[in-house]
Amino acid sequence: VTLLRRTILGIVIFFANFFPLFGKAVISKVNISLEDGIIYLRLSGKNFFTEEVKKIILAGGEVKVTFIIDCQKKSSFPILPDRNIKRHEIIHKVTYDILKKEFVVFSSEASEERTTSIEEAEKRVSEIKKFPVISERELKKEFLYYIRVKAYINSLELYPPLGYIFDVFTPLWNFSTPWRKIPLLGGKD
Amino acid sequence: LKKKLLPFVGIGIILLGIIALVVFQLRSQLPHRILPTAGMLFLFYTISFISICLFISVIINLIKLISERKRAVIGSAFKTRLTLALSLVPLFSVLLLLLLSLFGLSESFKLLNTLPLTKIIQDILVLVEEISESETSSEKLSFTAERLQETFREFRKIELATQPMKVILSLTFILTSLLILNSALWFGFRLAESIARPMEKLLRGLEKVFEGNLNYRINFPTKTEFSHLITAFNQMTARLQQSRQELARAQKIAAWREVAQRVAHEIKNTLTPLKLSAEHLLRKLGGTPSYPYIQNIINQIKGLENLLSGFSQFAQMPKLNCRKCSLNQILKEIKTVYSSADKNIEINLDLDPALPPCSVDPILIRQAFTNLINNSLTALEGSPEGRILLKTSFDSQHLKVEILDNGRGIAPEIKDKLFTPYFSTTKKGLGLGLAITNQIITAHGGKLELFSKINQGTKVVLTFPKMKDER
Repeated sequence: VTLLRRTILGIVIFFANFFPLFGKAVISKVNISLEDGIIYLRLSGKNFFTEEVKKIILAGGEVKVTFIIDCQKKSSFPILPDRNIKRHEIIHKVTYDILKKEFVVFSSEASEERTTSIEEAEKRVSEIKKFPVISERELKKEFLYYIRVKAYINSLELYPPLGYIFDVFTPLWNFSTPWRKIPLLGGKD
Repeated sequence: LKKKLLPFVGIGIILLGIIALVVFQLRSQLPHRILPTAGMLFLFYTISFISICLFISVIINLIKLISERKRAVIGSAFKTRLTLALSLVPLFSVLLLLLLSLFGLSESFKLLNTLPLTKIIQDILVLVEEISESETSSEKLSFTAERLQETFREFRKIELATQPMKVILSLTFILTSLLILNSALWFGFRLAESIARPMEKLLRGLEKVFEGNLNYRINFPTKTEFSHLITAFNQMTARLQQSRQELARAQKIAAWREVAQRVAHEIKNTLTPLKLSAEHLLRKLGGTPSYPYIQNIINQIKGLENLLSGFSQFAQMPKLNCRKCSLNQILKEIKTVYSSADKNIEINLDLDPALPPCSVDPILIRQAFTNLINNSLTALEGSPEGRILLKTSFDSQHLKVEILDNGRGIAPEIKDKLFTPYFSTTKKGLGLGLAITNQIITAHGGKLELFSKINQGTKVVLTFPKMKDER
């Protein structure tokens, strides 16, 4: 009976992937600036820590937030896909120090930060303060460019090969934000 | 071509559907994990799909079998038992195997829970040991505590993942089991069907024959031993049909003979006084203007007598006066007679020089051959390049004479009527030739067979039994 119950649960969770019930996490604020010929990106997200994710952190698990930042060149022909000219992957991590009762955040800016509030930890893990995306020189005048950002939140992970199919069965613990697109004025002075 | 392409189109649509599902499901995957996860998902969906298809097929087959059993269709009882035998045995063995692997699965779950725990206990033991040695510096102690926390985190990670992993393992187990079970069942059904099908065909064929339909033939190509059985059945029905036709022909001829005998007798009785009276009148009225009319009456009576003699000959088969003769010699003589008759028609001989002599009545056989050649000549009338071939051959049991022509042939619908007395395709023929010929050949213990194709020609095959001392 347990086997059957587990199987039914598995099927339900599996098909939950088709409905964006758990996809409330979004990248809310994005800011782009040009300083000394380099395009910088600032962003912050919200709803990264769902109830399930919080439970994992408090239970001593590690939560990994992976930001994918792409700089894309818009294709001149409608059907053709846009070309990726630069990709960055930024990983932030949160764990809970049981002995000191503190949340430990590992981010790209500071190697290790400690805080006692989970909200503060969420804020720090879901924001990028100032990240150099691409040099202005790499963009050409005649083309259109845009930056797109997406964050992946992984709180339960297993080692491959089981890990590959595992993620599909854990939409409550592993999910992502939709792509957020920010157009650039293609290299104009 | 459309039928051949249909499965490929179906498979293509299903593959596209599966790919669409996979793509849809991969939205929350990290870019570097997409491909392996997609592969796993594809496998998962394909296995599920095959399993579902097999399951549906098994259910359909089951319903079909039950309905056949209810309607008491021929061979359904046999098929049911065969299906049970062929699907239940693998089913039980597979179930046993699955039970064993279920036991293994639960054991691995237990192992999953205990493995990291031992590691933590080890670390705690080290920590306790270090605390007991009070001399140790606090720096070393905090390092050990840090390491213990790291191990604990690792353990929590595995522990937290255990529940969903159990769900996945259960799901995978159920899916694989269903695939194996359905495959076993489907294979059993399929095998039972392949064995029962020829048996069913054979039983149906027997029923048809029992109902009196001798035209029924089983057309079922199979590579098993059933093919011999089916061939034997088809040959048996063909022979049965042939002998039935021969019997019908013989009965018809016997009936006609009876009629012919009576009619000939009755007419002859009336004709004799009529002819005598007419001759008497002819003598009396010789030289008068009525003379040609009476002469005409006598001529007509003579014609009638000719007709009657044909009838009598058909009715009364003269006694056979058999002696050892060479069929080759008879055919050669006939050829010489006919060669001078018609210059347009070429008669050729293809005689086997080693043909053994045969015990026949030479006069009657010559008449039979002549009748057949006359028929061929009639069929060749008006054709510019008429050819007749007389051929002899033999085997261990029989002597064979073939008369072939390239005439207009015989329509299939009148082929059976040809042996009926008084049936003729020409206006001048009496329609007794083939009937008498058949009678002569049958009286010699032989067989007459006709093969013909419209506008291509006719082949008459006469088979005579070989003389006993020649065998």
